[in-house]
Amino acid sequence: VVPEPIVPPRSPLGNLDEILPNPNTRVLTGTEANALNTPNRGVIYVQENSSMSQAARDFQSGCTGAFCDPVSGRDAAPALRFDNNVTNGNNFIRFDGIERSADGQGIVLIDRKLRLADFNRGAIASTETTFRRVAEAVRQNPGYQVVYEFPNQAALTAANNLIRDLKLQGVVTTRIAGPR
Amino acid sequence: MGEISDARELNAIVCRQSAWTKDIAQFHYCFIDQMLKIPGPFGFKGAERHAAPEFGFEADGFPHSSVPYNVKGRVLGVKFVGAYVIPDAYGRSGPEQYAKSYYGHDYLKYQWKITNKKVDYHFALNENLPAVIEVFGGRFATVDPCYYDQAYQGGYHGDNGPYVDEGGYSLAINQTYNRLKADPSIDVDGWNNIYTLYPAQFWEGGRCLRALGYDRDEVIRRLTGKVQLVRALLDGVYVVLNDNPDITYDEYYAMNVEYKALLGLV
Repeated sequence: VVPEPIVPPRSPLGNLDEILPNPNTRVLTGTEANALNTPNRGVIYVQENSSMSQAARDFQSGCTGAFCDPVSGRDAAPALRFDNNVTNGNNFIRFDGIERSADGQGIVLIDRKLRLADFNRGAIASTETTFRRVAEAVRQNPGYQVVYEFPNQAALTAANNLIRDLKLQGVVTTRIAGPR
Repeated sequence: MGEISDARELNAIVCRQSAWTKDIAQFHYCFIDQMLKIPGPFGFKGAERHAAPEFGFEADGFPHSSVPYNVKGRVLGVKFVGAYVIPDAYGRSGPEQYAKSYYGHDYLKYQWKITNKKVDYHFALNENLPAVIEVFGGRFATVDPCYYDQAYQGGYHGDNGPYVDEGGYSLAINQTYNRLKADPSIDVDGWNNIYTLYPAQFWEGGRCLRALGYDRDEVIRRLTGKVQLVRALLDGVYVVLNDNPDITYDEYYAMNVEYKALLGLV
C-alpha cells in the first residue's frame, strides 16, 4: 500500500510563494503603489526611499526577504496595504523583510530597528504612531503578522520595556534578529 | 542578571488617567508650576519653564497618538520624557473599556545610571517620588533597577540565560506568570492584578481592591513595621520595599517572595 502524500493545509492567504519575493515580483514606486485599485489589502513591493545611517542600513538589508530591485537598482521593501483614513497618507506600510509564519499558514512582515528611541520626544511620537498604523494595517489584513527585530538582548529588553510601558503588548511582537 | 541589559540603570514610571478630554495646556501649566517647586531627580526644580507641548502629525498627515515632551535643565544624567496620550488611539477600547484598563495613560518616565552621584536614591524613593505622584495625580508608579522585572516575569535565574528561544522571541519559563497571561480576564500587573513587586510602587485604591481583594488601609496594616516605607497617598498606597540602588537580582527575587506572601499574592 502506497501511503498517501501528506498535503499541507492550504493557507487562507492562498499560495504564499506568490506573496513572498519570487522571480515574477514587481517592485513599484510609491506613486504606483498608491494608485493601485482598491481594496487596499495584502503585500506589495515598493522601492525604498529612506535616509538612514549606514549601520541601520546594513542591519536592515540583512533581513529575511530583503532584496534589491534589479530594474531600479534600489532596495525593495515589502509593504502591507491598508485603508489609511489620512487623506494624503500612503495606503501601505513599508517593512524591511518578509517570511512565512512558523505554522506555515501566514505571512510575517519584519521591521528591523537598532534600538527604539525611548526618551526623545519626537522619536517617541513617531514610534507610537507607527505602532498605531501597524496595528490598524494588521487588523485590516487577517493572516498577516508584524514582528520588530533587534540586534541584541539589550536592545530587545529596552524595547520590551517601552512596549510594556505603553501597554502595547499584543499589538507589537519583538524578537532578536538572527539566522533562522 | 547582567546580560539582560547592557547598563545598570534605574527605570521609573508614573502614570495617570489621560487628561486628553480636558484642556491639556491648562493642566500642563499648573502641573509644571508645581513640579518646578519639587527637587530632582523626579521634580523639575531648577529646570526651564516651557510651553505646553502641541499635538503633532507625521509628514503624511497621520496624527500622533501622544504628545510627548522633554524638560531641560533638570538633574544631570537623569533622562526624562513625559507624554499626554490619546486614550483610544489604538482603537482597542471605547470609553467604557478604557475606564477598566490601564491603556492610554499620561506618563512620566525617568532613567538614570545607578552610579549617578547627583541622585540621592534614599530621598528619591522615600520623599521625592511620592511628591511627584501627588501633583501628577498618579494611578500607578514603579521603580525598577536593571529591568529586573522582565527577568522575574520571564522566570530567569542566574547570569547564563538564555533569555530568548531559538526563534529569537523572549523566552518565558515562569509557569505562574504564563498561566496568568493566558487568561484574558486577567490584566497581569495591570488593572486587576499585581504580580510583580518593585523596590518602590504606588497602587491606586481601586487596584488594591481589585488585585488584592482588600483596601489600602489593610495594605498599610499588613506592611507597617515590615517594609522600608508604607503610607497612604492620594486614594491609594505608596510602598518602598528596598531603597538600595545596588540591589542584586537575587535580593529582588527574595523581596518578591517575602512580601507577596505578606500580601497574599501568588
